[in-house]
Amino acid sequence: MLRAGCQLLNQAAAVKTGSNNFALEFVRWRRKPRWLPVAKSKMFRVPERKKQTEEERTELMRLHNNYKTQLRSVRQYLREEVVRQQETSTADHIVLTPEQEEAEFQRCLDENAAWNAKIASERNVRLAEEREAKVAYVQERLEAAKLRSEERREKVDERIRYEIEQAKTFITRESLEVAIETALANPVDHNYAIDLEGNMYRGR
Amino acid sequence: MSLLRHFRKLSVEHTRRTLAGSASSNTRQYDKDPQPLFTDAETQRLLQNMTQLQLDKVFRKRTVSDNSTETKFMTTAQLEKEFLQTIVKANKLLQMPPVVKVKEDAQDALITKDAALKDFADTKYVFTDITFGLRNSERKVVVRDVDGSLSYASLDTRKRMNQLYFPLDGRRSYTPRMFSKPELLQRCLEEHKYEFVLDRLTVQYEPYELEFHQISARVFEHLMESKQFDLLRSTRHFGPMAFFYAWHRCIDDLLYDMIRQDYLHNAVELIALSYKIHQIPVDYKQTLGQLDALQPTPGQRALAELRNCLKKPQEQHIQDDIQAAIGKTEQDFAADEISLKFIEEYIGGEHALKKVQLELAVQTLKELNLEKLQLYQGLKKAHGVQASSS
Amino acid sequence: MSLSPASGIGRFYKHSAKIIRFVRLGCANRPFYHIVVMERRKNQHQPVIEQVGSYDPMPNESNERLVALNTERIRFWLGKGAHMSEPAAELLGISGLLPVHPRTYMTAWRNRRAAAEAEAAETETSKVDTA
Repeated sequence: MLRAGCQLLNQAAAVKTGSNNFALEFVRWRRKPRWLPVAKSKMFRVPERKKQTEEERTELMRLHNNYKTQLRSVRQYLREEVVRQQETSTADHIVLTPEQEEAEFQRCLDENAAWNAKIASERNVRLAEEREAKVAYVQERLEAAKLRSEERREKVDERIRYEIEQAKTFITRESLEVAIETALANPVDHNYAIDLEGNMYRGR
Repeated sequence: MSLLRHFRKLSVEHTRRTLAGSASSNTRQYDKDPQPLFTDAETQRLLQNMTQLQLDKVFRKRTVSDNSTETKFMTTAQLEKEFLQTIVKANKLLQMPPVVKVKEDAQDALITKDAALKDFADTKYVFTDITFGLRNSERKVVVRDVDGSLSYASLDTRKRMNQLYFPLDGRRSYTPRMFSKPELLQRCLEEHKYEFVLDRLTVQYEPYELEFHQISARVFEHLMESKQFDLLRSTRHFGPMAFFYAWHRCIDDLLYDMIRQDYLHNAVELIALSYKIHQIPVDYKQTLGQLDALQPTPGQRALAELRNCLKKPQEQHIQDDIQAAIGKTEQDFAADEISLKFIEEYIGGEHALKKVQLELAVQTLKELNLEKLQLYQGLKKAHGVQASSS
Repeated sequence: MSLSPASGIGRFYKHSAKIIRFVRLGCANRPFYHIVVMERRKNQHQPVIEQVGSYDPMPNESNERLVALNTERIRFWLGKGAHMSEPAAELLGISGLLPVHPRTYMTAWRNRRAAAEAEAAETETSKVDTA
């Protein structure tokens, strides 16, 4: 009966939430909402009061007093124990005597010096190599530059020689008259045609 | 529910009682604490020598989930190093489970008794201290009984709680049926699964428990009848077995087996052990010293065997060939002579029980040895090897 | 995967009130408790500061109730001033770590009285039957 009711409720809930997996349904821990009134069957129920006799009450009072006193002293002891533990424990830190500390520091220094020496030797070797490489590179570049300038000078010399060669036929101020004379004496006529065989056909 | 529980409890108690009853009636028990004698350095050395070190057997394939092997390329120096480590590892694997006396529950287990707490609950409460970093043996387990008494738990409860909160690998929280039902154990023994039984026993029980003693005694006694001592040789249980026989004055079967298999050195050690345990005034130390000077320890022997595989065939000397063919060296022959003398003294004495059988075995061995010696000398002469070169 | 609440992932203020209490795990009709340290104001199913034990209130097959206590940490937290819930205090009292709680005595004498009354009623009825 109860189970059937639950199923009905479940179905109703499923319809309401659209029955997807995301809406989590708590079936087991469902409660009556606060705002609903007291159930009819429980309306006139008066909860029974457990009765406690006088002697039980005094006995419990005595026991509680005892208990509280004892617990207080136990707590006091434990508190002191915790403080003691924290003071003496080396669980989360390392305790060293000054000599040990000094020795440790010295050891660290030595180790550091050793590391430095090792790295320095490595670095010197590396730097020497790099320097050599640089010198070689510069040398090479210098030679290349020398070669290049030589070539350039060669080219320029060539040009100058050519120009000097050319300069022999130039018309200067002195030879101007002669040149004019020559030009006037040998007129050149360019008005002609050439066929495919190279025969020249002069007109005029 | 409670009825079922009641029945189950009854059945558990029943099986325990039957096992204990059947075992205690006809198995041998240690009458006093054997631990000081067992952990004595000399005894340990004797037992280890007797156990021998056969690497093939120590590192054989077992019925475990991971039996994988690793293959590596190595130089000869690396291989040599690996050999040494292998011997160390094998010695570790051969560590013997200790033989100690049965531990009883403490007499002064009661801590306090509060009469006002009587009937505070209908069952006992068992409290286990699970503080981090404690060993199982030093963990406190206390029980508050229904009548209000607070006491330290019995060994049984302690073991149960330890197994519950800090389980050991392979140990069951209930008694395996193999140990609770005598007929199943009997079947295991008849199939000669001694090592399996003893291994499981070592895992399931602590050495100070009564069941451990009873079942191991039963296994050793069965072994004495079936005479399959070779099954336990070079396992961790051989030492306790030899100790058990020596303690209970029944070494003759094992001795016979050792003589038959030509382990005379071990036979001498076994006799020496029994002399030592029963404080028989025979000077065995001299003989042992002579033998030790002549023969290597099991570790050295295993190492030599390993190194032997490395040798190339052309390196082998002709003498090694002869020795390999016969299986003995000159030192071995000398050692055999000393041991045979010692063994014959034992057989002639009052402590040997199966004298005829042992004498026969010794005689056979002597003849065999003589033949071998003649063959050895003949071969040597034929090859022209000097006697002094060895 | 998120850590389970028992693994001690609970966040807490330094000076807030802590309490040693039970957390009910298990399922319907099969209670099982973790004994934990957590902030007093929090709900039992929220992440805890630390688990210091467990308690199985159902008797096992050898008729025992099993309790595991990490006594070192319990001492520490009590020394730090952690409170105790009443069931937890009762359990620690029974274990002998702390003084026995008065309520345990009360249960004991009530049980005894009930048993005595039941026995008296039994003898009464048997007398009536014989008479």
